Amino acid sequence: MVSLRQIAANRRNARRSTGPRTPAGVKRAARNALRHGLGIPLARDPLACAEIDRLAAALVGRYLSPARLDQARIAAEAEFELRRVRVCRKALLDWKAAELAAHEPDEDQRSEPLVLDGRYEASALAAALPELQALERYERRAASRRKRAMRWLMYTTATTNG
Amino acid sequence: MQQPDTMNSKLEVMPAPKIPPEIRALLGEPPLLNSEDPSAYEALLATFGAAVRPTDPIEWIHVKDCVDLTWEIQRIRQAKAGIIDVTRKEALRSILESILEEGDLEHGKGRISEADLKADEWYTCPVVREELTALLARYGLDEKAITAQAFALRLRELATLEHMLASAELRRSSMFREIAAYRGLFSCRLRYEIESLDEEVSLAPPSSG
Repeated sequence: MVSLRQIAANRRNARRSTGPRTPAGVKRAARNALRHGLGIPLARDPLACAEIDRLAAALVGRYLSPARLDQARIAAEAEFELRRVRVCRKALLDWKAAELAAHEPDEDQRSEPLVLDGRYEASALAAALPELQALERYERRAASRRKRAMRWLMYTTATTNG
Repeated sequence: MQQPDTMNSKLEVMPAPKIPPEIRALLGEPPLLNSEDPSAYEALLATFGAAVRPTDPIEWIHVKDCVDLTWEIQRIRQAKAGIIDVTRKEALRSILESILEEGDLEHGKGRISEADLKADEWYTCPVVREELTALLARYGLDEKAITAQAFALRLRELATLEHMLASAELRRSSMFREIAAYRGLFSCRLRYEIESLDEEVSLAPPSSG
């Protein structure tokens, strides 16, 4: 149990935050997540909405109820969030690998043989580590949301009389 | 006593379940890089499908996630090895910078330039490679020292990759547990239904006549 003294200390320390303080700064920082698109809600994309509805209907199966459909939609939306993160990761790594390949010297200028054995991908992964770590945070959050909703669905599927 | 042929036929691996088209449509595209082999991914999906035999979309989603995480794990492991490989030349250069002596400088250049040149020649000239191997041995070093130096030079990236690898492995284990828990719920329910049926039968009055 956290003591009152610790709570007061935590509040004092939080006021020392180095994040934006002015309204303009806070507003600007709030848009950071939209730069790579992952912060844009899927609900704004009609195509994604249709796919989410289809997946939700499949997850509900024959045991249809408003509560199950709600949870199925949450699980389906989280599933699509996960896919979006993985597509971002793929695009990032393909782009970095292509950049590295484009800067490789010609064969006669190279001192060691160029072996296309995935070393571009390895170097691309190394070069993209900060972005990959950021993507991983999104991935973990979406996976956690999906897990909670799926658990509820799985429990009700297994225990509902058909 | 069973004949070996009969025993062998019982041990034959059951064919992997085909992914129903309606499930395939739900699973989405695999997250493969341009350089990665789609048939290898499909083979992995088939292997997991054969092992788990998913029965509904919920299980299929979990299985696909396990496959994607396994793929990601393999990618990270290969990247770790690849990073060491691409750093070997830099590692050799840095070792040579520290052990080259005045007498070893052939091209009239400084130690750093000479080390750079020799590190290049390690890959192109077998004679130079032999000489450098002998030079390294003078200091009790060999190719393993080059690998170790490569590790040291890329330690931070390798540590980050290790962390990402552990995270992916943890999430994959979590998926396996979720599938097991789901099936456990079904078996609990089945047991409950069977026990309830047993009670009904035992409580039923004996039939007359």
